[in-house]
Amino acid sequence: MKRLLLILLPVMLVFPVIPQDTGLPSVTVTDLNGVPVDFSQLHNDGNPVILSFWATWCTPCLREMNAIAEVYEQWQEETGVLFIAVSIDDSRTRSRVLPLINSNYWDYDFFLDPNHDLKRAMNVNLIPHTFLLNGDMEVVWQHTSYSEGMEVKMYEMIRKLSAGESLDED
Amino acid sequence: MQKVTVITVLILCWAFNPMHAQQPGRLGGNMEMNFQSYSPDSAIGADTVRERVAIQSFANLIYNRGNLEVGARYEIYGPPLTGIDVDYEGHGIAHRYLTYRHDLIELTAGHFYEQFGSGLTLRSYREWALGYDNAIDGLRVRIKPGRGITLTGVAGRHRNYWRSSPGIIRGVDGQVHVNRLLPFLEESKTIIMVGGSFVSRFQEDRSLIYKIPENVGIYSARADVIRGGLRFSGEYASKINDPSAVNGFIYKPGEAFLAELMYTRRGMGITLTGKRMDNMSFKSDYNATGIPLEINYLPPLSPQHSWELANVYPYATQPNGEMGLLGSIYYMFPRNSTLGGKYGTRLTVDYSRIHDIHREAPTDTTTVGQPGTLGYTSDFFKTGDKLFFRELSIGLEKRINPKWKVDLKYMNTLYDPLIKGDAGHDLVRANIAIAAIYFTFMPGHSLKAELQSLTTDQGELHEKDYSAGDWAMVLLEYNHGGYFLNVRDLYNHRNPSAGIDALHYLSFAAGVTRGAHRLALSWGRQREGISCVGGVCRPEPAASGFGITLTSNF
Repeated sequence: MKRLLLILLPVMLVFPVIPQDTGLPSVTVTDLNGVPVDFSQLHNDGNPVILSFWATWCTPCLREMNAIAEVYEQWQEETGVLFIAVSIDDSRTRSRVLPLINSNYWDYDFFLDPNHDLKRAMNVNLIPHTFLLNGDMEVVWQHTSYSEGMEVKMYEMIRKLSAGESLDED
Repeated sequence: MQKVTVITVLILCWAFNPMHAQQPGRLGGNMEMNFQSYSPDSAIGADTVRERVAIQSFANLIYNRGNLEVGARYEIYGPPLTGIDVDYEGHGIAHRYLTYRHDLIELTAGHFYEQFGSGLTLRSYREWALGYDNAIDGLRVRIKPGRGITLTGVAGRHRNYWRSSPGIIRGVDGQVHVNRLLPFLEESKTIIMVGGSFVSRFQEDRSLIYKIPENVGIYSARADVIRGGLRFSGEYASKINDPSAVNGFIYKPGEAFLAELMYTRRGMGITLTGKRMDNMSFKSDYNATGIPLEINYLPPLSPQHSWELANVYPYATQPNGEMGLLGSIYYMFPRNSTLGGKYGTRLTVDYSRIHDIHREAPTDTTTVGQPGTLGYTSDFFKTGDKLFFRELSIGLEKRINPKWKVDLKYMNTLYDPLIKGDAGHDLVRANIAIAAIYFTFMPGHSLKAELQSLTTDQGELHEKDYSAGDWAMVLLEYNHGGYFLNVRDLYNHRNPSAGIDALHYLSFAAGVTRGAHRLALSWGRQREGISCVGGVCRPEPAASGFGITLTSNF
């Protein structure tokens, strides 16, 4: 252990720090075609982002995604919001992700986090866990669990973000 | 403690690094606390718990500054909830690490979680609800030497409750996205990814009976090919002889094969998955049995269900040998069609069938599975006589109008109780029907009703099995503005075990969610059963009492 300290100590004192591009952790996830993506590099051209953690076996997650799918086109037109859905399905259920997306006609941006690296980095306990990010990709609101109608409240906040107003937390 | 000091010194040095004094960094974390009181309830088989109450909790802290991340998790079990391994009792820093990231390299010292490919050679992960944590404590290096190439190297020991595993794990993995590596394939319609890994365990041979190989290696090769809506994914893994407590100290090499074929387009998807596992348990202690210290991950082939009565007979991988198939169909009956109605109707059908593998005595003088011998020989393409599991499940999801939505599910399951460790019992045939109805009666006010039924063909049982027989369940839940209230009656209306009468498991729960903070209270009876998340299942004893769960993210 002392040897490790001796090696790492000078390193720690000298290592420069590269400024973070966004408020998101630099964790590698993959898109649905297996292309690795550094999550900290994602952006939505200054518009708000909904970031949601889900899994194929999580029924409230599917209800939330279906509810938003009904209004997503309208939300996008009005606010430019982007829905990023991160599946935490592991190798047992991974093959269910894409057919489930297609059979629901979902048009979100999807990423896979099979060993929960991003889930841990974002400190997510339970799913569904939904974050609202501002145009600088900083977390401005988050929520765990879903019940019918919750998306209405979320949209109020997205509209405020889009209009540059401040959010009043409950 | 020494390690903690070292990490603290390093963080301080880095924090005072003059090159980034202007950056404040980012601190975040999460926590969960579970409390349960236990009242003896002989009717449901809930024993007296000496401590009367159990409480377990963790708090995670992650500090990010530029390209450095440090994290630690404190855990306390006083004692753990029933069903979670009692070896967790105690408290302390269970997890701490330091990660440095740069374009080319990522370095982690301390605890980390990792997965190679589909996990057949290595997977370390954590499921708090199951008390599962096989984090590796050591060093991990990830290098991206070129576009499309990722190389990972790991070395360390598993977390083993509050100790470390006796075996040391060393592994390397390479993943290549061929289209990104080779510029002339960048625009190709066919996407190809290949990968391979090698993992080895070193553990001193302390056996007085057998000669245990001290270095045991496992390797795998994998490929993913995508063209339009058609996808193939496959991995083959092989392990050298690894006599262990799980396989009964046989010397046969192990092998595993996992292949997936999928066709999907807007509105539908079909998948076919095949799997064969032969003597593939690989632990960081050859003497260990049960859940802990798994180096690799053998995904179960059956779909994962989330409904209560769909999880009475859950499948769990049989690491010593199994082979099976899973076929799934996903289809959306389009909107404005006869079956689709105004909103479309979604159909999911799954059929899975899992057999034992074929086994033959290796020589005339030994028997199948005889310790200290090769154990058996097995024909790769031949299934064994024993059927472990067969399940057909059909699900329908339908929105009727903006206020009403219905989920329906029917399952027919054939289950060998051997899967949950009860050898020598008859196969259980179960029919399961589930209806969930969602009703939003005012904006922001919603009701959920679940009706579930499970019937079996089980005849009289001589031993007490509290999950046997026929079940019915009714659940009502009200949600409004982040508050929920539910009441559930789980009714075991026929139990063929001698000495168990029809029983109601009544429970109430209420809770509130504010942002990422959630508090849930429960009171009532929980049935004895098996709780599964991912590939891991653990028996959950019956309990009766009051529970509190608090989760938070900050």
